[in-house]
Amino acid sequence: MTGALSAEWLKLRSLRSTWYLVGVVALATAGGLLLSWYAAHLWDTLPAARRAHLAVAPPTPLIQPVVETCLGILGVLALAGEYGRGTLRGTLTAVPRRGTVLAAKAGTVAAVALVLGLACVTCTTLGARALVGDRHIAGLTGPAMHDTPLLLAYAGAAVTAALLGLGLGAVLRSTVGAVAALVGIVHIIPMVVWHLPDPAGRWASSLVLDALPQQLVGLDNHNSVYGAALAPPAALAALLAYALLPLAAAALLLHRRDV
Amino acid sequence: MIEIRDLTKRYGGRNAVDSLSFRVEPGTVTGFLGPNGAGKSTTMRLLLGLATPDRGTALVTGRRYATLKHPLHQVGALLDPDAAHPGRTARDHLRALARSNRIPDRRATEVLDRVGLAGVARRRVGGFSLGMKQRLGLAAALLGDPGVLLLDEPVNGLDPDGVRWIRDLLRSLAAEGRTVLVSSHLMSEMELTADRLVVIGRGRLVADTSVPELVARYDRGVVVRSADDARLAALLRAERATVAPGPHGGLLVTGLTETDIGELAARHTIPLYGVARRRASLEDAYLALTAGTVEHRSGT
Repeated sequence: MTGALSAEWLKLRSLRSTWYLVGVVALATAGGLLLSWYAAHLWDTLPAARRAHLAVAPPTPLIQPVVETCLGILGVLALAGEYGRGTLRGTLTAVPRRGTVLAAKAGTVAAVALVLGLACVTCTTLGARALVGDRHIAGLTGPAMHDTPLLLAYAGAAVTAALLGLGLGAVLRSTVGAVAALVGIVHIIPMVVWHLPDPAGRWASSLVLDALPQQLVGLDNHNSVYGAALAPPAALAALLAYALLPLAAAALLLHRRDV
Repeated sequence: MIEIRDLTKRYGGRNAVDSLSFRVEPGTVTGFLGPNGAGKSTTMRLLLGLATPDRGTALVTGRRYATLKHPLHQVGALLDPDAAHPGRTARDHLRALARSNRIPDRRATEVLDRVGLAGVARRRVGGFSLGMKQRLGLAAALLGDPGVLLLDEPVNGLDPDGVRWIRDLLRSLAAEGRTVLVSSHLMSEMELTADRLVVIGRGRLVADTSVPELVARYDRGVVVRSADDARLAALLRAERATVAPGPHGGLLVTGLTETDIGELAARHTIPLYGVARRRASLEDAYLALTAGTVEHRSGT
């Protein structure tokens, strides 16, 4: 297993596409920081009476869909990128136990996603705090921005997205198909479900991947189109389902299919 | 050692491999021949555990491939020249394979050197020619210094230099006591490289034989030119040989060796101008063997 992990880690970091995706995550983080800087700048230019009404979107949840998409694509490329070419045959010839290959890929992708996700939320949060200083700006200051469990929940959602991508890629065996499915789940379905009439809409929009981190730490999804119908344990179960159900299907299919 | 017993694999309602049985012994290069679609690649994939047989077993070194822990130490395979990701460098491709089997990184450099790719080790595979990709595939097969090698069409895309190089490489690997199974549809190449031949058609075994045996099976007799063909023909028939007119004059004799014919002529003082065995080429023998099994025949 350590051999397979070492191989997958080398494979992940020896591809340019990995570094492009890391670059996009870094750009999104920088974008989040820029927004905080602009909010601080705006606050300074406003007359004192209007400062209390200044509210901006918190940068962490704002860039979270970008981070989730990038890490999801990273997961897709790790396995679907080997289908289509003969690469997967080489991989499975070297490591015939398919469960080991999938576990090694899941391990490396999840580890990379965790590190990137944590780096991203830490940068946006600490950066925002440093840029905003002692100004009071709704969204940038206040409990949500200093809540470590919430930040961990966002990192957890990033890991979930990466494993979701890996699972989708293994099931669909096509990079294009898996990225389309990923974008559908992370972006398209959320846009549709909150238009549904209640209570279905409230429930469905509570189950959206982006709605889970807040519910995971028991926060209301205020200022959000998403619902907050799930208690923290239910939100955790939903998050795990996003990551593990496609992965379980992937394990089953990888075991059965000829390559 | 490779052992295939009653191996059967169905794809889309037809048997891609059909009750196939043969063995490949160590110390030999065994050519694995057959027309396109005969089931050569499927057999290789079944051997490597990449596909599951519907019936029968395929064993390498006495075990199913899927049960090997670090298989690259025992079996090296070249299946597809496009096996390496185009975005990765040749060295990283090999290092990743090496690490999965606990092979030290320096082996990647060593095998790249052995296949003549040392100079492009840090270049991305996407820019490689077909011949370079084949060499990289061979490097991957040699990575774990395995006792068994499975090579699917390794000479495809190689220039004459590369073809000779691979022939020498395969011969030397077999001379070291390794088991080498190499598929090809280039008969002339196999005639020079292989000791034994396994010929399949439509998934079934057509022949399992040595190169000389196969050629001998399609022996076409001896062409004799002499000062007195008529008298010689009568003498040969008296020795129970079959005699027919030669293709360009002379006699076509079957059932006697060149030595027998020469001595017979000498005893009766008939001067001989030429005695030559008409050997069927391996290609002729192969075409005769697989005549009924070709999947895609041209219209003419």
